[in-house]
Amino acid sequence: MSKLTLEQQRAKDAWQCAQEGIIKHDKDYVNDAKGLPALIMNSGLMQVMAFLHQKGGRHETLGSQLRAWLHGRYGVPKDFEEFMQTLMEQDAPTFQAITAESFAWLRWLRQLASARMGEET
Amino acid sequence: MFEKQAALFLYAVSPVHMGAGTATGIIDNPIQRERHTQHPTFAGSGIKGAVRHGFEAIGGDPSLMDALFGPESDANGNLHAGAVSFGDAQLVAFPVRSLKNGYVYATCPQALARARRLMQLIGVSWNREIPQPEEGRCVLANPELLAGPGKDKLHLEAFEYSVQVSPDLPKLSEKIANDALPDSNGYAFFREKLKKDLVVLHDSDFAYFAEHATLVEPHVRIDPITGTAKKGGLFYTENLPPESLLVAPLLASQTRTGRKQEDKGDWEDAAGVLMKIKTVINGKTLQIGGDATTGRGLVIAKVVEG
Repeated sequence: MSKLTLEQQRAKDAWQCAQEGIIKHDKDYVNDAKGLPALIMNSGLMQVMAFLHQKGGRHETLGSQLRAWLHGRYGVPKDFEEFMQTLMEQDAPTFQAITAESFAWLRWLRQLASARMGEET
Repeated sequence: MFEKQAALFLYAVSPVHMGAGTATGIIDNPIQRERHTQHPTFAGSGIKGAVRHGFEAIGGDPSLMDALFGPESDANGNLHAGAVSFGDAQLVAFPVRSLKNGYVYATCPQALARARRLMQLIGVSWNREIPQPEEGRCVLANPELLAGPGKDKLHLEAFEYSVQVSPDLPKLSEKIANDALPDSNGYAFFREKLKKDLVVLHDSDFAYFAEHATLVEPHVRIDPITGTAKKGGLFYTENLPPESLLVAPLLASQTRTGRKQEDKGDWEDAAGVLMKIKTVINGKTLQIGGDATTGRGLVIAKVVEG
């Protein structure tokens, strides 16, 4: 069997995460997922990760899913505090690459979450 | 064949939403971008349509419209091509939030080289070396932009860049500022700022800002009965931020109405066509792209001839 492309891997992971998120938090999860890229574009990745963690609940579900994906791609820790510590120490190109990877994964998540919820976007 | 060439600089004075349709990206209503660089762009067809639409309002003679832009396709069958062509606009400088001086005009070797090539095509020389900073570094002209303990770093958004100050950059940025912005007093501040606060980043660093530092706004549809957000009515719209600078080629041919020069009438040679379009749009505010009724899409046009 051929190796999955990076896009397929993102889609596969996001598909799984969307299902878990919807089971736990229903349509609130879908709306949060949809708005997350805009939030990161406007506020920055670390601020948004801190916000998600502080809000807890369905926000933390999203935050931990994103951290888990970034862990797989960049080896950054899944744990919130260690994740933040690690990001604080990255140089600008690495930080930007991690942010760009977040967008690439969220692009799938927001679409697949909406689709799985069965709503019009 | 187009015989006369000019450059059309477009400087955004409001957010501009030149839409790329509904997309399945990270934003619901993204702006147009070049495929290969992902830099924001304005499609030439959109610029031409906007100029045609506003031609009379900005002082153009409506009887010239068919000759300059081509007749409407449902007209009387006397179809012919227009004599003016607008190319796609490419990004020259992009505003990025800076710790010092509010914002800077960020650019990169790629964007500068492409703009310089376009200027060369129309016979204008930007005969200065283009700085080539490494990734994570930048070249700037104005030491006032530096901050941090050693006053030796440039802070853009959340990022820090080590710096090389270039005495040569002000000469290039002055040329760009004078070519790209109108001469009048209203633009003096921005000409001066563009000259001083132009910052050259590595192509990769610049691409990050050009892609991820645009203006993104949530919108909702309001239910008229309840006065609250309608279910499924949340969407996100992307805008090119004000103070962005783009440049497009502007080409002219002789008029193609089918009449010959000897018949006179509305025949114009390419120089006459370029002069006519330049007279109308140079220094004017155009409205391009969508969301016009919410103040979007205002750009200042400046035409530069070789």
